[in-house]
Amino acid sequence: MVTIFDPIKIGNVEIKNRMAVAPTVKNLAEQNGFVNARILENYSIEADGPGLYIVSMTYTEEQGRVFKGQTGIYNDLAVFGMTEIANRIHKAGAKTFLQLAHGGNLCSEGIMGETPVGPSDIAQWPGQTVKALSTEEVYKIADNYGKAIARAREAGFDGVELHACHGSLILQFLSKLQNKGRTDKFAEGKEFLYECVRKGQEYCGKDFVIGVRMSCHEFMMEDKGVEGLDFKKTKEIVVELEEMGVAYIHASAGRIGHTPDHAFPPLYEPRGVNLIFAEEVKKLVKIPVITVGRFQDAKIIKKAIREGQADIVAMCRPVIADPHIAKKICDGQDDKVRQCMGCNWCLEKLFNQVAVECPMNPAYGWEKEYALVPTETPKTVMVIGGGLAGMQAAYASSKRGHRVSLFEKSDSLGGQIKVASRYPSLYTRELWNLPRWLIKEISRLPIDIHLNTEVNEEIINTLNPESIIIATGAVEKKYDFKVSGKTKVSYLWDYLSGNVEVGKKVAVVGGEAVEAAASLCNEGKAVTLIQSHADYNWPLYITGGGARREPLTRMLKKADAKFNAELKEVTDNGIKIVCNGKEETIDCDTVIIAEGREKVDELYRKLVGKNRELHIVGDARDARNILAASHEGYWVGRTI
Amino acid sequence: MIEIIISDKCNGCGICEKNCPTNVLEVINKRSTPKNIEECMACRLCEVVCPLKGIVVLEK
Repeated sequence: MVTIFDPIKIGNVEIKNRMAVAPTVKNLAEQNGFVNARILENYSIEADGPGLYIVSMTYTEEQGRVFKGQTGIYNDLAVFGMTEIANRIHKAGAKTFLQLAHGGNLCSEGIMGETPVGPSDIAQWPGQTVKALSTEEVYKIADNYGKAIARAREAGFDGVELHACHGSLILQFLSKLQNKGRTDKFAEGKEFLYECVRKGQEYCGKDFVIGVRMSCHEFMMEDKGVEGLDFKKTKEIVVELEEMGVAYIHASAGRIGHTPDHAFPPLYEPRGVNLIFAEEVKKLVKIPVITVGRFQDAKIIKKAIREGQADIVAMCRPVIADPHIAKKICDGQDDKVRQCMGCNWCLEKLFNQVAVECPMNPAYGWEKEYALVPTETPKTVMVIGGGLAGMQAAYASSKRGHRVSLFEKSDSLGGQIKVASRYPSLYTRELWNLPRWLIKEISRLPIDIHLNTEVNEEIINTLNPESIIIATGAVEKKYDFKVSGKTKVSYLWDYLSGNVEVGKKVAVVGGEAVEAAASLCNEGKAVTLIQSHADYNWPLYITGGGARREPLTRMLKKADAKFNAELKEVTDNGIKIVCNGKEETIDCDTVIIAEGREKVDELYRKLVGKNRELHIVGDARDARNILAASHEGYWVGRTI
Repeated sequence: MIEIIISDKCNGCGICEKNCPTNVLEVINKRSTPKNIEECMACRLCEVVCPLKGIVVLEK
């Protein structure tokens, strides 16, 4: 029986176990695509543990660069830095393949300096001009792939992976979405992929490992009602790739800008949601197949290998969240893994063209600078508030040797995530992964925890701490509307705490109402969603780049959405709203208000300027999100 | 220690069995049963997909 600790050969490369770091665009490289100390440090830490490290999406030529901090191997000088990456990964104990990509119409002129190209002139982004590639130009790009593959070999990589997924140029050709109107051989999209493979083999011989990471299914028809690359076609292609001598298939899905929630399944999706593609591909080919997508627990990783559903499990976001995940599993410390939530803040940062950040891993990308250094002057530190920001502050300061006490006014730690992770019929349970990990860590540290204790000035004066960290979080905004009747009204947190029995018809109102509305739609309730904007009021934590809006939008199709609307009155049989300037009556038996949050900082206001070392972090500074709360708590704990 | 509590209102619809990523639950005699509790990750997907809200996952 196969286990994740069994070695495997890809081509003639022996890989020591079945865990891989999936290609991850960290956006930490220099603006000319060259390597720096920061990205090298990050690679070094992550490469200790997994058998294989696939270094991500490195552009084959400048015309193909997508991200501002993306690595490139576009000329011979670039080989110098890439050699450092391969060297570090090897020293840390893993084999390494370099993933190569030309971004095609994903690119923008402002970043790579010329009009982006594509299989046709159909734009990828709104307002974008794209130049359709001529036949000659396509052959040139394929030849540049060949040259890039040769440079990868020169740099010491054990192989390469062709990026044929998520929307780069190869997928742009494979998919019918934008490969329209061509009259040359590349009208058959797979011909471009095959030409790139052939060029690699021409420059490096057939023994140098070339793998392909495919979006096995774009979900274009299901989600967008248009034709794209579907799995039926992919099954043809993988067989032909094996015949050509491709060494492995890495099975992903989805397409940036169209169906991104299949490429980067957010927390609403089950763990291992794309495993089915690897499983099906394995029935067709003998070469190894890699799976990826929400694998953050040793149990599901081990199961995929044990049951032969995939040969290797690759992890991208779970490694960002916990760079030691593979090492911990190898060391039998499965329960110590800090499990990725799928919140997708990392992707929001990436698609905003800044460095990747992660709420679970505040030191990501700045491992040396943000390391927790033992303090030379231990202090008594009082942390007020046991939510995410407070727990991070307590954890970081205690780890450094400060004498920490943590105060929480409710009966348990966890703050807002206690309710945010409890939508009855919307899968946000994974938000609890970070508090769960912090609570375990905090229990192992000498931190004095005081639950059911609301801190006031008297308690502070009695304890007289040398440093105070205020993490008092936020409360729900209360709404101004007239209640003239018997229809049940509740605020979101009360509903999420299980205190509200929802009838058959429910109105959900406010700026943070979409997840509640989606949950209620999933339950089959008749939902009216009252939104003040012309479109859904997306809360600031449900970002455009995070691929969370797409699944929610699908669920919300079942709701009756009223845009440009405001709640005016709650009556006996429902509510009165003003929508687009007109008064409307909505029939319902329950109203849930989710207007958003506002900071709680009264204690800070009382103490500031009064001879106390004060810090304020998280929502108490300003009601925002888990990334801010986690990073600010950790920052203060690290620097006190 | 993970414990899965199946309420009496379970009608054996099988949605939890179909959705569990590590095949912990099996419908036996019209009732969801945790057959492989050692494989449970406490991901709590079963809590969310159960139409009757009849599953509670306890972490001790």
